[in-house]
This record gives sequence, structure tokens and C-alpha cells, in this order.
Amino acid sequence: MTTYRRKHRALLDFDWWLLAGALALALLGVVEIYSSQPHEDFWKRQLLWVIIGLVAMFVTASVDYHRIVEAAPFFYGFCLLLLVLVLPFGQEVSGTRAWLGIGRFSIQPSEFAKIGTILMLAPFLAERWEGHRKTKSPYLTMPDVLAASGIVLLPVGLILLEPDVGTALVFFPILGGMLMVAGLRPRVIAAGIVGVAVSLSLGWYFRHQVLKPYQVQRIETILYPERADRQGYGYQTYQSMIAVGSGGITGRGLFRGTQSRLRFLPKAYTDFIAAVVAEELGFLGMVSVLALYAFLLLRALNHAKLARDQVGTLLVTGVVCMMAFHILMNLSMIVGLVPVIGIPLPLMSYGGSALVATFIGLGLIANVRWHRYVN
Amino acid sequence: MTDRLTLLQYLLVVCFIGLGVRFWSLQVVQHEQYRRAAESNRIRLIPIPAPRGAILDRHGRIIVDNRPTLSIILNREEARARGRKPQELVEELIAQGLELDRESVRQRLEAMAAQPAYYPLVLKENATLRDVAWVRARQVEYPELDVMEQPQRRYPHGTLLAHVLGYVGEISREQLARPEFREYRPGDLIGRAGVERVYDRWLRGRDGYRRVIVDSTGHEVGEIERVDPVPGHDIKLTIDLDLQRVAEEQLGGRRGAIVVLNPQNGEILALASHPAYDPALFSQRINTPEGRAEYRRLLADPERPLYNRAIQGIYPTGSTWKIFVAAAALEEGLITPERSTLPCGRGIQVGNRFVRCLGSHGMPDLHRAIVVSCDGYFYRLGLRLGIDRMERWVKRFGLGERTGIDLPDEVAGFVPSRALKARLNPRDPRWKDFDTVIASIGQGSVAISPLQLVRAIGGIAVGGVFHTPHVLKEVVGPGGTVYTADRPLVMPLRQQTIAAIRSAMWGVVNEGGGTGLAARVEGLDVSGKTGTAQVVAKERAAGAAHLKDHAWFVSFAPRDNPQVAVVVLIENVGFGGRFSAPVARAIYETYKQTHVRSGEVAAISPPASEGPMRGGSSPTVPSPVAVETGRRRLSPDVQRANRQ
Repeated sequence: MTTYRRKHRALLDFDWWLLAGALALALLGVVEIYSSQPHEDFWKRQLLWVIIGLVAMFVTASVDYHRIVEAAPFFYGFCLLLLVLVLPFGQEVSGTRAWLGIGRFSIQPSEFAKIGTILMLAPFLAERWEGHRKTKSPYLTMPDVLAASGIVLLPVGLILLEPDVGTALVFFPILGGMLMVAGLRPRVIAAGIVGVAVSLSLGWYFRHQVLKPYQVQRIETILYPERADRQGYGYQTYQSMIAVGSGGITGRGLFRGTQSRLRFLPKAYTDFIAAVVAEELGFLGMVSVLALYAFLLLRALNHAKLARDQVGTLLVTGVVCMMAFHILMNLSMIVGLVPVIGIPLPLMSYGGSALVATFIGLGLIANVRWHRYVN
Repeated sequence: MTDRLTLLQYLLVVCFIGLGVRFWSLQVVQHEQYRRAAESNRIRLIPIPAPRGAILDRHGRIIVDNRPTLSIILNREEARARGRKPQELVEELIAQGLELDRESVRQRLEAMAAQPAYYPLVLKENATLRDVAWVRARQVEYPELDVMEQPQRRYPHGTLLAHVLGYVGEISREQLARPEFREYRPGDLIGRAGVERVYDRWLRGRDGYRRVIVDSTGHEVGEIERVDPVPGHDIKLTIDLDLQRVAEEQLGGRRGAIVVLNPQNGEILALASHPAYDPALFSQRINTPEGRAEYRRLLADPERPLYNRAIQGIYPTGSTWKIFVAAAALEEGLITPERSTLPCGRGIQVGNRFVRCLGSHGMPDLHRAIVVSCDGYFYRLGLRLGIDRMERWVKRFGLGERTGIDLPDEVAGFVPSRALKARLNPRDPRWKDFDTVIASIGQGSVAISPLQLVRAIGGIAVGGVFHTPHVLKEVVGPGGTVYTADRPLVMPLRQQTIAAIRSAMWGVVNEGGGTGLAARVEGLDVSGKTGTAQVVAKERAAGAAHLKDHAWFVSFAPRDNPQVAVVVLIENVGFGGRFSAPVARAIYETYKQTHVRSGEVAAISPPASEGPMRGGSSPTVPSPVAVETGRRRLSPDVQRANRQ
């Protein structure tokens, strides 16, 4: 009887709202993938991945996250192993070796490495913080920060070897967000912000030494849109802005977007999927999408506050930072605020590994909420 | 740390509002500007046609390949954007001096109507330098025109092997409507006959394209996407160009067919049919008025050059049929090589009619009866065998059925039977002895293709294995394959039957009085049988050239280890021994020069000295396998081609 009641209660207590929001976005993604590639079966495969992702989310959510965290080193190590394997054995797609072929499918280890890193960082930082809590200054120390950076730099280094700069970038906001929440001195935070700003400026000043020519071009396109070469490097950004702008308030109608259908937008079904939404569903559609993402992230941060311990809080923070960075960068990219970097839109862009990794992340969030009571 | 989480929430809210403002600015404030930008976006799709695979002979020599040509294409989307109706535009272009063929352009415009407008339409193939210069000079007036490279079929040997190769042409509207042609578009080339049709899926490759952005004057300003074409697979045939050339030369201007095959595996070394046609007509000239006139002439020609006499022509077999009667009688035990004499009698009396033999042969045995082609002997042997056993046996040899060759539209023909007579002759449906007598020498209600005949004779000569004749040796290149559709008909024959038949057929060519002496080749042991097939009753044929007899010669060599079989059929010339046997000899001479020296024939037996021989070398008698009966199964490639 008690078992029944506990189970019954548990199912009711699962975060169905989180699931509903994520599912709505993922299904909209499938529809828009179909819209941009109606003659290919990308949308069917994506639908299959959504189902796999939902299962992964439930599985991740149902095991107490403390037990997941215990296994974190193995998962993290496994991800690193895959990242190493992908270098010699990976499939090369437009200059990047990021995919491992397994049978008929291929997986992108770097997507799972993000989750692995979050799982590794959360208990580490929580333990350090516990150690400092009873002292006079309950803040992380420099060795803590350096050790945490080490955990992050290992996968980052391997991903840069592929090379996949966009994916590597995501690890820094994850690290930053988790450090901040785990207890960084306010003045260290301030110093960090200044440091990032300075190094960005320096990097820009020495851009021709640090960056590849096409990367410089892409950034200049954003900084000086009036000078942009619209047929060359500025082409993708410009076409994406046309797609968004031509959508208007109500959009051109589902399956009626010429920018994607006539393939002005290259790879509309992956990184530029939001431009297809903006073109076909207009400002109203885009605001709905923004609202759904905001709802998911803000709700997740509420769970972080409710978490029963610091590990839970940090897990949620890591996943939220990961998703938020993806969403903000991707959307900024399609509206021409940041240069084109290969960052997909979580839940909507075509790609099985990213989708499943995101659902696993959402599973962790639901998990922290589900297991928020000490029993 | 809750305050920091709250801070993070506020930060996110600010970012999302910022993005919302940006979307507002692009989608609402600047909407008009971007809407116009979207409309002025022009893309063009420029196809890069895939080169079709080459067709090679068995030694890798090129029979068909491609040559580069230029085509003038019309971008319909561009035309529409400028408010031009394609039909009017075409008239204007013609008036301005561009030479176009109205008829084919009109058909294409109709066929392309349902295709997306960005897909271009070919206005003219084989564009001359003058045409290209014309288009380039008027790029501003007519931005919708462009020039595209297009590989085209090239036939370095002219009409050689035309019936096997077949030809390519534009896919028809009827084909496009069918599901198996989903991958094709209007204007695509497709194999329409022969190997080009049966193996179209291997040969065609996959077209690529370039998707380019053009400005309002049609100038290309950038490339969005480029998909390189995947060339088609090359196909290696079993055909030997040397033999093929000799076969066609030997037919000369005479109507007829020749098939040379290897009875050990069914590979066809040469297949000729005359008159032939020029396959280049279909790929190069069909969209010009002259080309269409040429095609109409081909269709109307009473000699039917488009049809492949070797597999679609069916003829009475004449005396070549006697081999089947002899084999059946030996297998049934009606005669043995030692006890096989029957009277010639200069003919036979059946009922109130006397059916004559052409000579007076006394009391020949089987060997002699075949050597001199004694009709009287076979009238009597046929009566002993009876029509039912005769029908059963010739069907076991694959006669009256399609052989399953990998060429389209093979004709089955028919062999004599009670059921056939009842159907063909409803006023006199009963089978009579007279019918059996006529059937025994391959006259009357029998009509089979030269290919069936040579396959059956070759199959008997190798001991009762009737391989599926085929022209594909190998699909070359990655993912390629070899011919795998051989489904041999197996009817193991007794050693003594095989030996007696081989010996008698050797005698036809090599013994005094033999009807096929003209086919004799020193050192190759050619064995054969002549046949002279009546077109109409002798009395009525007198004088009329088109009613003269068909001349047959079917043969194999070497006698004791057959490696090659040849059938020659020449229409309406007269005796097989006089007209067809020398043709076969020329082919065997070439075969001897090219193959024997190159070691492809393992053993050439010394000339046999005696008459009927038994034993000798052991023929390849296959292990007893269930005899395949019923309809022959065709390979999937041929089935698909036949449906087209």
C-alpha cells in the first residue's frame, strides 16, 4: 500500500510542466525540419530521437541524482575516451571530426561531454564549498578554481583538436555559472568579467594572429554590417536576417518560407532552424518560442533553489547555463548579433546527440526536483 | 547562494527581452525592407549531368562512351520573374536568330510544367559555338538563358552491336507517371532499348547541380551549394569486338542474325542482327526535324531494322530440328548408336499424301542420316517418337520459351504440339500423322529464335546444361557486380547420346557428303547442322525473292570439348549449307586466331577418324539436378526493362 502510494505520488510529483515545454519545442523543431527539407527523412529521424530523448529523460530523472553523481567519474572518463577515439576514427564533416559512426547512426561525443563535465563539476564544487562553509570566508579558493578549470579544460582541449570551436566555447559559461553559484568572491567575479572583456579586446586587436581568416570575416560581418560581403562570408548571416525579417508579425505561413525552401539558408534544418520558425511563424511565433525557453530556464532555476543540497543546485545550474548559452548564442546568431559559430538551438535543431544530451540534462533538472525531500 | 540564482534568473530575463526587441526590430520595424530583399533573391539551379557509364567489350575495349557537348538552358523562374511567357520567349528567340527546334521545345515545356520553376529547361542540345556566342552576347537582354555542359553518347564503331547496345532517349511522360521512375525528371536520359535499358540503373549515375545566386541581370554572384555528379558505372560485356565485327561483316547486306556464345557458361561473344540502325540517331539527332524524319523512316521500314532478329525473330528451324529428334529418340531408347538404321524411301506415304525426301539415301543409320540430312529417315523416327514425346523433349531443351537473356522484349516462339494445332487451326484441330512427319524435320508449326536454337544445340553438346545466355560480364567499379542471373536448365543426357550427336554433327562438316562442309576449319573440329526453312510451300515460292527459304547453320566447336557455339540465320536466300555454313566458317577462323592462340580453348582434340564414336573424352555431364520446368524466370533487370 505504501509502495503504491509512494509511486503514485512520485509520478504526480514529476515535473510534467518541464516535460511539456520541452516536448512542445522539440515537436515544433520536427515540423520546421520537415518544412525546410520536405524531401529528406531528417524529420523522421529527428522524431525518433525525440522519443529516445524522452526515454532518456525519464531514466535520468528516476534514479536519485546522488547515485548518478557517484558514477560521474566513469561517465566523464568514458566521454573523454570517446573524444580521443573520435580524433583518429571519427567521420569528417566539412573539416571537423566530431562524429563517431556506430552502425547506421553516428553520435557526437562532444555533446555528451558537456553533461559529463557538469556531472563531474557539481559534486567537486559542492564538496569544496562544504569544506569552506564553516570557516570565516565561505568562498572557493584559488586552488579550487584551478582544479575545476582542469576538469573543464580536458574535454575542451580534445574538442579543439577536432576542431569544433563553437562546441568548445560552451564549456566556459558552464564553468563560470557553476563557479559563481558555488561561491566565488564578488571581487573575483568582477575581476573575471573585466578579464574576459580585456582578453576579448586584445584578441580582436590581434585577430589576424589568433583567428583564421574566415573567422575574422564572420566577426567583421557583425561589427560592420554595412561593409559585409553579402555574397561571401556575410552570406549566411544576411540570408538568415532576411528570413527573420521577411516573416513579419504573423509569418509567411507554415511550410511557406521561401528562404529555407529555396535553400537560400544553407543548412536551415540545423543551426538556422530558428530562422525558419521566424520566417514561417513570424514575430508572434518567435515570441512564443522565446517564452517557452525562458519558462524552462526560469523554472529550472527555481528547482535549483529548492534542491535538497548543494550538489543538486549545481547540477541544475550547470544544465541551465549550458542550455541558456546555446539558446542565446544561436538566436543572436540568426538575428545577426553574433557571428556564425556552430552552435545548435537546443531541442529544435536537427541532431540526435545534442537532442538526447539536452533531454538528459532536463532529466537531471527533473531529478533534482523529484528527489528534493530528504526521506 | 539563492540570491545568485535569482540574479541569474534576472540576467536571463534581460537577455530574452533583448532578443525579443531584436526580433521586433527585424520582423516588425524593418519588415518591409527584408520582405523586398527576400523577393529579389534569385537562385538558379544549374544541373551538372552525370556522365553515363561506358560500355566495354570483354577485353575492356570501348564500345560506347561519352563526348562533351554544350546545351542551352532556359531558367523558367527567371523568365517568370521578368514577366515573360516561355512560349512567347521561345518564338522571340527564334525570330532573333537563335536556331531552335520548335517541336521539341514545346514538348519539353509541357513536360516540365509540373516541375519546380527553378529547375531549368534544355532548349537545345549540341549547341554550336555560334549558338553559345549568341547567348553570351545577349546575356543582358535574355538573362534567363545559360549554357550547360552535357556529356552525350558517342559510338566510335557506328552501328556495330546496335541491337545489343540499344539506345538512350528522353524519358517519356508515360514512364514518368509510373512509380519505378520516381527518381527521374522530364528531360532525363534513359536507356530505351538493349543493354542501355536493362542496365540503365547502373549506367546512369546521379546528376549533380550547382545552386548559384544571380543578380537581377542574371550574372552569377555566388554559389550556395554544389553537388558533384556521380558518374554511372562502366559495364563490361561478354561481347568480343573482333568476333562481333566479323559476324556483322559476314552478314553483309543480307537480312539475318548471328549469335556466338560459350555453351559452358552462356556468355554471348557476338550477337548480330541485320539490318541495323545507328544508335547515335537517338542521342544526337532526335530533336531535330531531320532526326525525327530518320526515326520515322526506321519505324516504317518493311525490313524492320529496329528489331533484333537474334532474340525477337522467330523462324521455322528446318533440318536443324533433327538434332532434337535424334537426341530425344536416343534418350527414349527408340534407337541406339549401334542399332539405328531406318529406310529413307525417298520419302513417306502418310494417309493419301506422299511427303518427299530431297534425296535417295537407302538405309542410313542415325549418323549418316544427320550427315546428309535425310528427311525420310527422320519422318520415320519422328513417327516412332510421336508428337507428345517430341514436345516434351524440345521443351526440356528450352525451345519455345524465352531464354532469359538480359536484353528486353525477347520473344518466346512456339514448338509443335497438339494444343498448339488446336488453337491455330480450329477447323481441323486434330493432330494427324502428317503433322508429326512435317514436325520431325522442323517445318510446320514451329518458330523459335536463333538464340534459342544455339543455346539448345550448345547445351546438348556440353551434356545437357542449358545456361542462361547473357551479355553482361561485369559492372565495373565500386559497388559493381558480375553477372549472377544464370539459372541453367539442367537435363542430363546419356554419354552415348552426347557422343552420337557430337559425332554426327562433326560428320556434317567434316565427312564426305556432309551438308555443312563449307564450315570446315582446319584444326578446330567444327561440328554443325544445316537447316533450310521453307517460308511457303515450294511450288508457290518459285521466283519470289522474299519467299525464298531461310538458311540456317547451327554449330559448336571443338567437338569433344565445346567452347563456342555459333548460329547463323540468313533470311530468304536458300540452302543453309550453301549460304550460312561459310559465314560460320569465317567466324570460327577468327575465333581460332584470337582465342586458341590466347589459350582460352584448353584442349583441341585431334581429328577423329572413325564414324560413330562412343566414350572418347568425357563430356561434362552435370550431376543430376531436378529438371527445371514451367516458365523460365527472367532476371529482375530484364523484368524491369520489359515492363517499360
